[in-house]
Amino acid sequence: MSSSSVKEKFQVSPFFVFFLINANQVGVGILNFQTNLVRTINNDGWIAILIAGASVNLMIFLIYFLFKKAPTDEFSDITQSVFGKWLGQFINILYILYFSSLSLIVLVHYMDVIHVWLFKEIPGLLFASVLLILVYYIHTGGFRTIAGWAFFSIVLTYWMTFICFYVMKYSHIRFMFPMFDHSFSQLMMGVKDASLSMFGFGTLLVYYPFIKKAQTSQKFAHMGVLLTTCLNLLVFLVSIAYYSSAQLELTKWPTLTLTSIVKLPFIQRFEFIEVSLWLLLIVPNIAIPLWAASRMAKQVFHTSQRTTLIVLSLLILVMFSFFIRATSFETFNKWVEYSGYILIYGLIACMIIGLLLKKRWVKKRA
Amino acid sequence: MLKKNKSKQKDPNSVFEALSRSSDFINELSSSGGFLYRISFFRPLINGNLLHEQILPFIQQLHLTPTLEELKEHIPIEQAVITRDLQKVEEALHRGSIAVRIETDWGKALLLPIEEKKGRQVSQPEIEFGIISAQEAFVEGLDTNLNLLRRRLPTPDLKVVEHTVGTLSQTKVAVVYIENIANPQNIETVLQRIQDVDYDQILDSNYLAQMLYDVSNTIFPLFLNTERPDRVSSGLTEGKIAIMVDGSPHTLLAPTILLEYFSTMEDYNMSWIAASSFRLLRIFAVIFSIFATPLYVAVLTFHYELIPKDLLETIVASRYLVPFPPIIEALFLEISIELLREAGSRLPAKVGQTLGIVGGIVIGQAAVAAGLTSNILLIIVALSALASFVTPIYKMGSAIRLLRFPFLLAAQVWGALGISLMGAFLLTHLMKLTSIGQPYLEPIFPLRLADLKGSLIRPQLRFLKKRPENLRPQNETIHRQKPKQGRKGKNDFYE
Amino acid sequence: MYDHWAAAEKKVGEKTSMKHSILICLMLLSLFLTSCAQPRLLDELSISQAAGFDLLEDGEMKGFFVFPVFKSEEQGSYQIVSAKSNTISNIQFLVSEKSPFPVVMGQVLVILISEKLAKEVGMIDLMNYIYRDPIIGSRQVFAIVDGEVEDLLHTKMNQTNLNIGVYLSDLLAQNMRNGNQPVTNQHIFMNQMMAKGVDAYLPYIKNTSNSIKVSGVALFDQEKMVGHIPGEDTFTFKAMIENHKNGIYEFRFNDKKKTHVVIENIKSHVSYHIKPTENLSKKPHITIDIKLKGELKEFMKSKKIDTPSILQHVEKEVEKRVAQQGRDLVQSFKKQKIDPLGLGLRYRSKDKAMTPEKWQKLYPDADVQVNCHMNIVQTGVSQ
Repeated sequence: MSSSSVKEKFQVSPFFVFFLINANQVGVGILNFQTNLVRTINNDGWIAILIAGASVNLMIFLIYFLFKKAPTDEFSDITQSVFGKWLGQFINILYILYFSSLSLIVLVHYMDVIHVWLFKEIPGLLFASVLLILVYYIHTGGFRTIAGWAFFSIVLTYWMTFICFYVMKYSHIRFMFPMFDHSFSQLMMGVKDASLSMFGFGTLLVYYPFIKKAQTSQKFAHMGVLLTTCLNLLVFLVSIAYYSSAQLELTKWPTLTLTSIVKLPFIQRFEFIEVSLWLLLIVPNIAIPLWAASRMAKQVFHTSQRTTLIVLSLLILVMFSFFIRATSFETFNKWVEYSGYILIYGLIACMIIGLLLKKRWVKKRA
Repeated sequence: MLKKNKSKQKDPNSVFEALSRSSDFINELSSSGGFLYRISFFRPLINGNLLHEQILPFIQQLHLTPTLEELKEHIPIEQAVITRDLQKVEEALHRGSIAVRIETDWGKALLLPIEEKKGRQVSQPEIEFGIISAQEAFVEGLDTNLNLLRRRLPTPDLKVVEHTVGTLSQTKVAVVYIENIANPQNIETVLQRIQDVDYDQILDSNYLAQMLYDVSNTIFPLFLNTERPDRVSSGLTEGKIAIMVDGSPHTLLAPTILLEYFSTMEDYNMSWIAASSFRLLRIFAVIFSIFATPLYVAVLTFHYELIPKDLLETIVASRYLVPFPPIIEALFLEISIELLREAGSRLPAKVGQTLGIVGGIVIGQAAVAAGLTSNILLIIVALSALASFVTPIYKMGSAIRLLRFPFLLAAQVWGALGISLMGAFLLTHLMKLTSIGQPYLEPIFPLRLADLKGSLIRPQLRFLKKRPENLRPQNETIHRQKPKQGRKGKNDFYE
Repeated sequence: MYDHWAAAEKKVGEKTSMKHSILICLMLLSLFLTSCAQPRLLDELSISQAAGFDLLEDGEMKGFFVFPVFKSEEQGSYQIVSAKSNTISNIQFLVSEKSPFPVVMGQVLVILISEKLAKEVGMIDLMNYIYRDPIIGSRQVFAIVDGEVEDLLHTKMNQTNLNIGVYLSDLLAQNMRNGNQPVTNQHIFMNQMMAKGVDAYLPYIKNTSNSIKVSGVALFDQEKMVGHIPGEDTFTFKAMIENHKNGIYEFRFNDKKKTHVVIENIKSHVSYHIKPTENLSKKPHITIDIKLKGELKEFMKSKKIDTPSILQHVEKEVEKRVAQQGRDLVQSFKKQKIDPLGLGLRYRSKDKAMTPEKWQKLYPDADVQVNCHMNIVQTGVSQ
């Protein structure tokens, strides 16, 4: 393992990987992952979530393994060293597009939520631009500000899990049973749906050089994924106890409608506050992938990160105006899901194999 | 007894000649015992008694032409300097020295510092008043301040480094730190930045503070300014660096963190439970002060469904007479409270009381009766104005008062979502702030659990074993706890 | 040590970037301010706190909205506005046409449906709108009105400073908390209506000569109302549905003096024991155990409770009666082919092989035993 390519004053302590991974995974996926999961496997979704969490943990382990064996810790250089210069750069561009699409999906999804729940009349493009200006402002603080945002978004919003305990008053455990009556293939379909909401961890590939003593942060990364798995599990279990399965399939955002039964002594309808506070949760989901994309673009195109950030933001805004309230968004979502599988699961595996083979080949030569 | 006939003669030295054009500069040529000498000084700056009692009698009783070295040996004034350096002479004259020159060599002068300092006496702190703590505050003179400080820290490690800043004002700036505790990198940064300051007049420590800031377009104070010597001395023992400016009763402490602006010295004088509760109360008050009015505007303008059904009638009934939308009401009230505060801070004491009553009671009551505002909003605005004064540091209080306005506008534009968005911008801004290189949001953001327990609550003193990590002190332990003789263990309860 | 772009930016072209940033700020500010969300000022809205729907002869619905009128002198004054149409949102729009401010339903507490509407048309279309609109929320209560909603809503309420919407919602909430009404709200109702294996139930209220009272529980088969449980049986029904505290049960001894006894429930607990059969061949056996812990509230006609045997006698009477009432209720449910107790769902949670169709066939033959165990823990301060 080589020494880091980033100066120490820009790095963050390894503890922050816990927050970075978690913040990237909890975003808009948690709002409606239950619907798809219940459609494929009804009450056994929790098994699918556990398996998905385990597979993500495995991927994290593989990523750290990759970085341990790689000659450098800049991801764009690793792709080039495994696949050669041109194919490597092409793959880097694929990753840039993938990370930008992650931000775009979060933006479109959250805009949709706001339009339905809060204000129908806000022009989506304007709100997206304001959010992107916020993201630009965050980037001017360097990676430390981004890590800080991941930290604050977890710390300031996790108290909302009290809702899960509040709704238990209106749910019945017997809705959760029967269990274990689905076949293996259905389970695998469920795992696919469950792992989609956990896909944000891919940006670890790009911010790895910014972690001090990066290999020691592996346990924090695993803890982060564990926390996300637990959170997804809790939300899913509460949802299937609260909603009957027919009702769940009818609801577009089960997690939010769950909140609408909460009544506090001084606030009658808590869900509007929750939707406003959700902004704090999605800002890292937009900022971190965009940062990853702009950094990789900086390395591929050899310009400053500020330029690439502005270009990517404008690109996202343009795509955004196509997608808002359009059915093409569903198709786009599916494409991004599949490319996520390929890029994260598939390519990492290939890269590890390629790296090991290359090492053996180099050894043979010497 | 200066002979007048020779006083009008021109001084061969051009510097002294230039200075003599000022009518308070005395540059008398006199003779006694057969030799000519000149004594030059600024009359308002020197201690006349010392001149008449110690220096002049001695010179006048000489019969032979003395050398300056002889004079230096015999005149009982310390720090006397013989020099040819005109720059130094000029500087010294401006600081209250007298220059004695003998005809044998008009170019060489003996500088005797006999400065008289005139200024306030040490008195009570005006701004950071404490109920059960010491009532001494810094004054304008640097030496008095250093006196107050050194008495509290009689340790040889306390170092003072003096600089002069300001091309016209030549203000003395003293950087104070404890050598074995403060981080050398911080010291170097502070000294370097002070040396880089290039301005004509530094009137106050807060001027200097603005020039030393890391980031200049922020409303948050990045250096803690205090007029209490006990606060400075406790800061120094933690590892902070104090910057004292001659002419200003406020001392700057660097580096600071956001949470420090909510702690007072009194916290350490009370029991830890009381102190922790009050500290938490202050933090809550600040949050209330920033968010209460914007939330009122947001809920009433956009989110009527959030109001509990029992409160609905009260709120609507209170707005019954008011013709304006909530944002106008809120802005009107906020601006009038700001006006009251601004005017109140400039009123002389006798007029101030009456006007305070007029402003507070009459305007508030009349506004409600006239139907310009609702009484609920009046309560909220008054409480949040009051809550913004809980921070002991004035600069932080004004930052909080200002922060309310962007949130109000954001609430009007996008409701609760706008407040959330503005909060996101504020958080990002706070995350980027640094105070001489140390992050402003420590110990929350670069998470340091050990410091966190000392910042949010005030734990028992015996738990504060180490100095705060954010200052990266060299010497970490404050005290070693002697193991207490166990009272339990031998017998149950009493006996 | 920290370092960030702002410091670097300062050194390069400070003046031009300053002008640029001011220009950009101004542009953004103007854009920002023009995109204000549409204000819905609190006092410029007609906030409805209750709604009701009647079925008219020609198949249209007549909808009523109750608007509180906020006057500072008088409390509790309100206004009822109605309109006729086929869908709820159209009714809302038509009512808005009659009012100076737009009608909003964010604070609706109770929605009344007339019995005819519930029986003939069913609730699914209503629920479609209510579930779809996020502004309505999940907490409001539905109630079925015995008669016409119009008459109920126009009852003159004297001696109260609440408008009728708040009055009704408090009435229902109080009965659910302290009385014999099973707890229900929009979420629970929706949940049960859509689930297969449970049928829904709603409070059943009635307009008597001078007041409004809760007179039972309305039962649903999927989305249509099929019948109701009269007030005397609601205690047992609630005891079988959920664990609850509070509730009053009165009965009469079959002895010469016809003593009336009133039991107040302190805590009740119900448990279902289901024995799954293999391959669903035999009859399913379900046992419902109700455990009551109660206080003897009234025991008339001079009998003193000085021996424990009297208390035991009362306990046994209660047990017998409640069990019998429970069995009768289950019989009537089977006859009406509804399942508000959720037996189908409970069975399915134990036995995976059960499907809703199979349960339909097995349900009428299912052997349901109801047992009750009563424990009187206090009798007040006198014997």
